[in-house]
Amino acid sequence: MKTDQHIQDYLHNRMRSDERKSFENLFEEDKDFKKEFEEHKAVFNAFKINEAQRLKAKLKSHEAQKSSKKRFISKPVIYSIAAIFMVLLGSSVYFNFFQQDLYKTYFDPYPNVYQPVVRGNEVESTEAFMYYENKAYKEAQNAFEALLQMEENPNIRFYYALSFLNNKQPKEAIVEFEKLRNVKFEFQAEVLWYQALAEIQLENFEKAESILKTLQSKHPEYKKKGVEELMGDL
Amino acid sequence: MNKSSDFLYERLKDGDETAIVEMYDCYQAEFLNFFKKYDINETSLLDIFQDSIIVIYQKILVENLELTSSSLKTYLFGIGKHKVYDYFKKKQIQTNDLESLKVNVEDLKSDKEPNIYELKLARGLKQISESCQHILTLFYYRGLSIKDIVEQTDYKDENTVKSHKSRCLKKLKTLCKA
Repeated sequence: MKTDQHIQDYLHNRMRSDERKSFENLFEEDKDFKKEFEEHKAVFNAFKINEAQRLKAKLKSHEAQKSSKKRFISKPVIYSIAAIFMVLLGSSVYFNFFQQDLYKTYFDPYPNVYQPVVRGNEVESTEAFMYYENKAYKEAQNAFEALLQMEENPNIRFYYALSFLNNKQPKEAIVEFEKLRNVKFEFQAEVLWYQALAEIQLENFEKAESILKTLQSKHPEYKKKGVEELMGDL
Repeated sequence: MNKSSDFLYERLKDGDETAIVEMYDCYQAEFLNFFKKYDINETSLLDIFQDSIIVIYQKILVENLELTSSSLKTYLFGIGKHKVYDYFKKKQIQTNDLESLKVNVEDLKSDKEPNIYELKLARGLKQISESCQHILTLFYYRGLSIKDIVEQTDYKDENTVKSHKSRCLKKLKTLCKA
């Protein structure tokens, strides 16, 4: 265990420079210790890879949200048209037009952060995720459905639901999101966010608001600004 | 460091992920503007910026990067320089500016490309149970000692942590061999 502790101290930079040097000398001299160190480091690096992937998806989604907002704001024409609609057709038409735009403003296809498609590491779900990554959502639906028939897996069901949503089938997506609402798994916050967007697409604004409130209370840090802004826009 | 970047740094150190987004928004314009001169397309530059943010966060969170004389921004730009340098090297593009991108700080260098075994482990980590992921994260990624894990979780003693960790590691390795 002491060895583990030393490796941890080395990898997490908790050693002085002279201690680091003697540690490096030690694993150069002792092959077994070097092997143990390499194993530990590989698991450490594997976590770094996964975390970096997750954070990258988070930053990409943040960036997409920012850009779509910029586009939305920088098109005063949209507001002019909306204003004309308001005058000509009355406020209810404008209301629906604006709310539908909300979906487009806030919706970004969720990336595949569950299973990276890596050549040579194919597993049963690789095909489904390959379709998903290539935006072939209809094919992805079929492939995810086949996987779910073999075995229930909330992560697969989440991407199954997203395939519906990306394929402009919010009703079907909601059915799947509902099944995941009380399941404890990696994408709980995402389920609430995307279900709220699906409800907005169907113009169930009250339902969307109530889901966003649940999201705020259960996962206060998830898309904090986005959730607040979307609720303000509703 | 000034007060606001000091505060941001402390939050990053605590693993506060809202601080990453804040750092992203805070330095994005300046970063992109600074590296524009190196003639990299917009998408690749944005990619480099995002990767640099992730590197600095992981260095602070799991590699105990202590920022003393260098500010958060300086460090971020240093990582950016290394990434831009690697980008040109990879694409085999010769540019007069290449030398100016060299920063002689070991810490700022990009990690080596992951090997196949590490990629297999990364995939395996997503397949093991949540409790296994949790204990292995604390031990391997966050670098907590067995004693610290007992203090921060509901495990009853060090032996329970040790045996659970060993079982989880074994499971992970079995998955990687499959």
